[in-house]
Amino acid sequence: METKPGSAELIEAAIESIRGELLPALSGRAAFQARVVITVLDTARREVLQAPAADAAELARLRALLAMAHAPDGAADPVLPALRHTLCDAIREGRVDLATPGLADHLWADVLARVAIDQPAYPSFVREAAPAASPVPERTRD
Amino acid sequence: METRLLALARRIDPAARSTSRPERLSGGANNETWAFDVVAPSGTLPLILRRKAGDGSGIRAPGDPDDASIAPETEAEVLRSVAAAGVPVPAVRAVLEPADGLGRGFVMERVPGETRPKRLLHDSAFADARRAVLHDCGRALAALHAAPVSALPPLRVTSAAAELALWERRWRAHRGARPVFELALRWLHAHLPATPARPVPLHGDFRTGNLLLDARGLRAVLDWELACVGDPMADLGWFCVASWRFGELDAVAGGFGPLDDLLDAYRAAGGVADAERVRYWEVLGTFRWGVMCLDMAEAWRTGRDRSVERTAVGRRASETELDLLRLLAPRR
Repeated sequence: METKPGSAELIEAAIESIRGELLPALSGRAAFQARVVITVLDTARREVLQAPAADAAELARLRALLAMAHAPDGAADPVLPALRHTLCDAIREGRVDLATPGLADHLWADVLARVAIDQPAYPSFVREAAPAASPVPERTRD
Repeated sequence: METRLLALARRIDPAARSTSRPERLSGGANNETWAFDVVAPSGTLPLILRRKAGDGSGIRAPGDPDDASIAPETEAEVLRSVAAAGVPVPAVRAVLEPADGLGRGFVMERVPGETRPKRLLHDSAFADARRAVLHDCGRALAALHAAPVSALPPLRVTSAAAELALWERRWRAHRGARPVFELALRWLHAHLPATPARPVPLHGDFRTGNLLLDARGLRAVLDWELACVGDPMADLGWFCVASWRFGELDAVAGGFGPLDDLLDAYRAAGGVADAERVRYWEVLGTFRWGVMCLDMAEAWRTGRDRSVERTAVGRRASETELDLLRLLAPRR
């Protein structure tokens, strides 16, 4: 059985070591820097874990949106950037806009998947990703 | 550095006996900020030295024509003129000269208070300040915007069209593919407001993080390096960008409260407010912050600034896409 640590595990081990062993020994600017390092490593870890599914879903949506369902199958990588640029050009030139069926849904799904990797604690993300059943309470003014 | 600081301190108070060891505060992208005290027979004078980053590490390469920041000597002059116009700012005590051997910058009084957004927005010590601050900000902005342009040193004159062109050009330079940015650009072009008849002095970076509060409210508006002349609603719209609400998502005005509270105070102090144009500048500001995040990542990539923070900020571009969608294509 293959037991080699994967990329996400290597990053997780690094984060644990910085947080548990290095950070307690640091203070001031060095401690601040160590926290930033944890932040970027955590983003990389989430990307390793989540990007493949996010890219596949984006590719499927883009093909449907751009009526290119018959585009050749294959690895997502060479196709996805080109389709993204195609959509950007179409929006820039006014051929696709918010009245286009599926555009708003695609953009929301895309952006939520990206922020889930980049910054899952970002308040706008926490709000928008939360199920409707658990509304965020109104801000109370002391 | 301490010997040089003491020589400088003696220009402020000839009887200065010593200075404390300067403490580096977390500064902005282009400037260093140092806190130090001058000890003199008359007492201790708390000061701030603000100077250009010694290693030249900024977001912009030296000489970049898109660098909108003003020279520190100009910033000191801006501080003096807006203070005279009634805007709360730290008093400038000295402008650095080459003979000081401390680089380019200036020394101002250290106003006691807090700037860290999370403390200001969540700490119970600032409960009274939070109730007062939008009123204070409305007054401060109205005073700034009422100042005659001729009372300030010559500043870059800008407009919505010019800012849109600038930030669209910078976005294009990244050759990125972010459909939400393209959607925002279409909206920004379609809704471009008329240039106001009277361009006014602007802070240029008026937001939570650049405001110093004490327990009672706003004490000083800091970081004037992006001061310029243009549409007064630009300062109000930038203040509303969601990235400066630090968790207080529904408190549109800087995380402190509703926009109407700010507009009411601004109008009561003589300002002419236009909520639609504030919204325009909020959308443009959100896009601008997204491109700035990419610019910071690029500063790392080109080797101009290899601090790991730059890469972390680069990943914040997607937060602005989310906030643009919330503004332009809300789901509920």
